[in-house]
Amino acid sequence: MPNNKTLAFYAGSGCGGCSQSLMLSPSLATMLDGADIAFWATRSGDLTEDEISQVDDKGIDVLMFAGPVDGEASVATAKLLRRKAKRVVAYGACAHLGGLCGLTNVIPGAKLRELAEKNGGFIRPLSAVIDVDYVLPGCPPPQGMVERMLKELFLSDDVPDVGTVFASSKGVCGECDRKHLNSPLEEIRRFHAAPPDPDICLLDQGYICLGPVTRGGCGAVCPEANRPCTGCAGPVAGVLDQGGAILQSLASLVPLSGDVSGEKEHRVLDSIQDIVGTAYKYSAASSLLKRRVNDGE
Amino acid sequence: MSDNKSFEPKIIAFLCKWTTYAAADLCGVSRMPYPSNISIIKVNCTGEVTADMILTAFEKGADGILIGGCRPGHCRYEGGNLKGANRVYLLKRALKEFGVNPERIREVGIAGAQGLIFQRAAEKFTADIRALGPSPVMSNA
Amino acid sequence: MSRIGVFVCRCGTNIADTVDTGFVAKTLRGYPGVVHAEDYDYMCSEIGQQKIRDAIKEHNLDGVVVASCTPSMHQETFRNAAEEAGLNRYRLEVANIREQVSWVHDDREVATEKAIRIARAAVEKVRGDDDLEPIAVDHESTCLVVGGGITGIQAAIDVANSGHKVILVEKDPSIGGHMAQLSVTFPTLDCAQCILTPRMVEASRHPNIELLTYSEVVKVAGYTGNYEVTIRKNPTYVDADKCNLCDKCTEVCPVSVKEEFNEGLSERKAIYLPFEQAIPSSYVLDEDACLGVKPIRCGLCEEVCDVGAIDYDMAPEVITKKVGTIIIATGYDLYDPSHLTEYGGGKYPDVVTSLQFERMVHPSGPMKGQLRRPSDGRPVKSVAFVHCAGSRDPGRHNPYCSRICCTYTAKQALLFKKGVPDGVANVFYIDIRTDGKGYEEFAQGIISSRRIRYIRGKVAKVVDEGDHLTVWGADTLSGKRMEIDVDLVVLAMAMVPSEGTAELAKTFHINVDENGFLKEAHPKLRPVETTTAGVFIAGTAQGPKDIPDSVAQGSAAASKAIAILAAEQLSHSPEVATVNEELCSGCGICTSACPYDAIKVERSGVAVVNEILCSGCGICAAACPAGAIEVKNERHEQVEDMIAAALGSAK
Repeated sequence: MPNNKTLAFYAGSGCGGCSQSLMLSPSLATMLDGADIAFWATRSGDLTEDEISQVDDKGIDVLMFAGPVDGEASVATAKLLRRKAKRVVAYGACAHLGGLCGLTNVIPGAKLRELAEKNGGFIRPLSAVIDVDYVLPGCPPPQGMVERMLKELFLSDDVPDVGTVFASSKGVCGECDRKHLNSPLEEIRRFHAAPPDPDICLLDQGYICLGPVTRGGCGAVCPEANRPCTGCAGPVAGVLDQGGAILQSLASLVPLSGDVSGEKEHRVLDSIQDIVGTAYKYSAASSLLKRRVNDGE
Repeated sequence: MSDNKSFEPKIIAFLCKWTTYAAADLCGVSRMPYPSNISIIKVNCTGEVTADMILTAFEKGADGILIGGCRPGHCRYEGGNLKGANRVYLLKRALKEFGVNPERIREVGIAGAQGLIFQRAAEKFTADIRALGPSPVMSNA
Repeated sequence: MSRIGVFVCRCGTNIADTVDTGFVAKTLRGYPGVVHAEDYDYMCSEIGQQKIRDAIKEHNLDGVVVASCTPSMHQETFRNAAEEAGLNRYRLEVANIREQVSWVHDDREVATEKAIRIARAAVEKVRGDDDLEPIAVDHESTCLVVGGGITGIQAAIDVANSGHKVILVEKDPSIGGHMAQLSVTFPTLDCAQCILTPRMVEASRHPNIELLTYSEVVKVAGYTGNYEVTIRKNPTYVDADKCNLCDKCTEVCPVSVKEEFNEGLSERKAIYLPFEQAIPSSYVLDEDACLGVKPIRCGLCEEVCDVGAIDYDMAPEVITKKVGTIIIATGYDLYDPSHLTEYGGGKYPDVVTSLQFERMVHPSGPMKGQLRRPSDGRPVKSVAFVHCAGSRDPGRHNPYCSRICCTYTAKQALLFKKGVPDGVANVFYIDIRTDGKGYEEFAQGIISSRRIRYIRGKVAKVVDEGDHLTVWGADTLSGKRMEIDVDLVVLAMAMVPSEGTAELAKTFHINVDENGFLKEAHPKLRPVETTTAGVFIAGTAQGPKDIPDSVAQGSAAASKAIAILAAEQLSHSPEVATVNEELCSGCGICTSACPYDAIKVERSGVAVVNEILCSGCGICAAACPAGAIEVKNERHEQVEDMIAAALGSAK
């Protein structure tokens, strides 16, 4: 059925993957049929503040916002866009969580951070600056999830409840076919060193897979491709801090050696390289800590 | 380092009800004072403390977090305290990357009869946190 | 919207001296969700409890906070009061403002402010509490006892006398255990069989005890009150009801092997009577020693049996039994003497273990009580007893003390002197640990008699010179090295958990300690319980100890078991873990975190908690990567709100 809504797409900064994911959607043509498009900006430079201001307040039924909020300018734009839209979708990991860009919040080295802060500040998820009605997670959102969003938002008479996340509330494990052995974590393996067995749970084999802490809905596409999940869809519904959640679970899997000094366990835990890059790859900006602080350095 | 003379640290203590919580009670029974900066939350086991709880405490303004459980090897739940310790170990690594001084979390193993040891641990930790200054996390909005 | 009542106790002056309880109540009254707040002198008094009951009814409260002493004092009192007024007892929380506020802080302003925050945190907890009901569990009324030594026998008799049925499983062909091998017991020098066999008979004849000897438990499933145990009965090839102990079979049996009962000092046939007072009182065919029953290779014993008791067609029988509780009393073995190479243990025939010595000195033993050297049969005129053989040696052997050796070595030295009045007895010791009732008096009597030489010093080496042994030791009190020639060396071997204990522990889902002994739930206060509810341990399986302590533990375990068996229904705390099926993806990380095996991923793909096995420890909740597991009434959100309230951060 034709879409009779007014919609808009805005991608501030970012890699452009989210725009592409939307463009590649087979339902796009149907969605656009009959729709009124207020604007379709794939770069912040595509649209000026004036042009946005000309749109009526609440004139846009659904605004899809992709890319991170990365400075005072984008905060202002986000707030302006919020006024113009009835419903706002945080589209993709950067808008949802801050995404990979969020890692710049944590980079060490005072000089680099100074540079970042001079250029407008730090990365924030969209929900930190405006009310967000819906979330389409993923980096980029996988096709299945994009389709679901399009159908529910544009091709149906019912309006989804505010707060809907177009993904599963459960972890990726629910969609992954690999066999569980419930093995203890005795050695961390990295997939570039040796390819995993495609039939057995990656965690069982010692590869750090964020499947258990990450929202499913993607069909476990990365484990299917014999790669561990890196957590792009953000934390499952029961968890506030995605990085903390995977760290607590990994630690729980290390078997107790019986030696109370913990030396054996620490050796395994220390072998996790790049702890923030692994645990908080997409969610650093939306973790409970949000960004690197200056604690008596 | 900031001027810490007027700074009163806020400390959340997750204490296992079988051991350190009982030691804190014993301090009370014995009228052994310790700093009021410490607010105690009773848990069944330090292995029950989640990353969310620790990070929430920092987010809501805790300057220090004390985790008190059984001494290693004595957990009535077969090493729940050690599992908890492994989790804190990893979390401290992450906190360090976020610039938070991992010394703001301290783990102690105190038996229920060791009131004096709890008093000393409470005094020392409060003094140490006072010296570290306020946690920069909460103002990190 | 919550309707919470807050009651602040003054506790006479205990709280009120330091905390302005009126101000706390007033401030709490303004807190979101609090509709009633008051302070009073003694909340635990009848008047105080009535205030709670009245307020619940008057203000239609759906939650109560009592800010008072530590919860272990009066939480149950207050919860009873709330329940009487119609409020679910799990919707009442205690804020600890006495032991953890008024009694440890001096400044009134600071203490009052802290009391407010602590009370608010309790309000946050109550706000999230759900109605909970204790879980009622039906249960079996039979007890399984594993191990038919003196401890298991005691436990079985005690449970049977309480009116409950017992299944007593013993892996050897007879009950009795090691005590049946002893000559006399310290400190009274009672004949061991004389005090043991009446108990053995009682156990075998008791109408409530089903005896399964030559049997082993192979599998255990289920939970407290409802265990399903699989037992394999090994074939004895002899019908115990028919066997009349005529002994004709042993005369014709062509196979001889070392006799276990005599610790290898004698031989027996493949078909044999375990010992004179064996129960069941029957011969047994040792399949491994026999030339063969399937097919029959010899058949001589069956031929000569007048009563047709021998049946080569017997086969292992696997049975399942449902039981409510389990008591494990599987006893000890002696540390293998061949570990003590410097003493020639297991190598020199005249270096024997303490149990071997018991058999040697026993009037019905392999030497009929005449002490002779196992190597050449010459009479023993001199002996060296060595304490702590394999004990108290963290570097090379067992770190612990085996507790009974000092006393039994004194006894053995005494028995030696009785049997060989002109013989020379040397005892090499490090300490004298004789702590049981009457043991000190008993041992000191022997030590101070001067008839036995007590030398303080470890033995470095024993050398077999052919017609005698030379013991190299030291006397630390005089500082002299010693070399003593003796006919016999007796090693007081360490006690170790009986063979198969580690596998047994796995089968029963219980733990062993760092020395392999079965692990108690708490070393001081719960010595016969394990972390698995309904499974108890007793006797030397739990650690080295003497017979009175073993018997005491057997009775203790029985009393624990009876408490469960006698209950109409079992009541289990409802504060257990629960899985939110909307969030659980079946990753299974929780399953290894649980100390009780209480959580499993079902075929449905989500984890399910066995509420009866669950103790509510919450370790699974912190292992869960998805926040899908929470302990009821201790949910993540409740704790996070408590943290915020305790820190004084605005909600």
